[in-house]
Amino acid sequence: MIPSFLRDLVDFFSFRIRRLLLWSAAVSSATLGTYYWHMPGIVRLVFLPTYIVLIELAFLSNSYFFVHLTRTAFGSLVLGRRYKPAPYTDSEIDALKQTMRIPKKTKVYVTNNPHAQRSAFTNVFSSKVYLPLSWIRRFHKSEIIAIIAHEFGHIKRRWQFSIEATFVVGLAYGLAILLSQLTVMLLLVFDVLYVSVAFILIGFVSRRNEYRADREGAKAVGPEGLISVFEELRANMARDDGSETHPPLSKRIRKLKKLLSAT
Amino acid sequence: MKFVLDEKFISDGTLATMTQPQRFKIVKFLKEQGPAFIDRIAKETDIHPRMVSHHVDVLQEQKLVETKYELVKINDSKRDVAVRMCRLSPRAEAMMETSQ
Repeated sequence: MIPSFLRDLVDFFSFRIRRLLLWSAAVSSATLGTYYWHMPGIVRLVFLPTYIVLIELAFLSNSYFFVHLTRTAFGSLVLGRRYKPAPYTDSEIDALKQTMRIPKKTKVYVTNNPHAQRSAFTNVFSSKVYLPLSWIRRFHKSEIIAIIAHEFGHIKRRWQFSIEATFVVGLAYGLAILLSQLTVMLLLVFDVLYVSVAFILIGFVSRRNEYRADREGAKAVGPEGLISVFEELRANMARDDGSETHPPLSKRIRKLKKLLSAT
Repeated sequence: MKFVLDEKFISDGTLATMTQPQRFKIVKFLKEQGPAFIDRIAKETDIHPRMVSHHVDVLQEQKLVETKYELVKINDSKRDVAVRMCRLSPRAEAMMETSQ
């Protein structure tokens, strides 16, 4: 579905490079971009094409995340109508709901939708957790329970994440407005500053949210299952440097291992 | 050490269990060193004892490892210590074979 040249190109950038490009776009917008009209003509002439190339690179390198997100959402919601998820019921899940104090209406489903086999997915507002069928076949039951506990952690802390995400988007917008008050700013600079800062901050909040869900899950069922799942996933990954929404598995494993010794 | 990939190991879920790198390490250790208890496996393979215990539970459920509580003398201990002794099952032995 994604043209291979685009996938190769965006896959070429590691997460560190993607983040560095985004930071460069944000910093150059906040400094040189903001004071564009104050710069001598010759500097402007050099800066503008460099700036545009930087923006292109920053947005292109980060585009795969959106392409992947759109593909999964489109595949699951539109193309995947024929794959009806099957409820996954178990007494351990009911006990887990009570232990973690999450709404009783929370339901767990297993899906064989080929567009949703790469990871578990939780709709935190409808309290529905979707597990890929391939994972049910691949992981041991105690590990599946650990994954469910992690997803329940997201449901438990959904308001905290929503508030934090809203706050950082506001913060990014506020920063762009503030700088535009100081000087006459190009609309391009304003937009790039707002979008890149918002993207960096949402990534930070989202990765924090993952650590929090790991901790919540580990508190309920112990960290062993999740560590085992992460180690297996990491062994099958070409590159473990995290993503816009998830921290690197090695870091998550390290944090969970600290809980092994602490409890 | 060679991992024998037989169709039956794929269909009965053994392969899925063994794709976990730490579990493979534990099975490999038991094949090479013979029966061992949890703490010794943890020490020799550099895996946390709680993780070893988790993996042994999974392997036991897949009938790849057999466990039994035994009394053993550890180092210079005056009294016997109860440990969970793990050994490979014939099924796992069939799967792992030593290459010459």
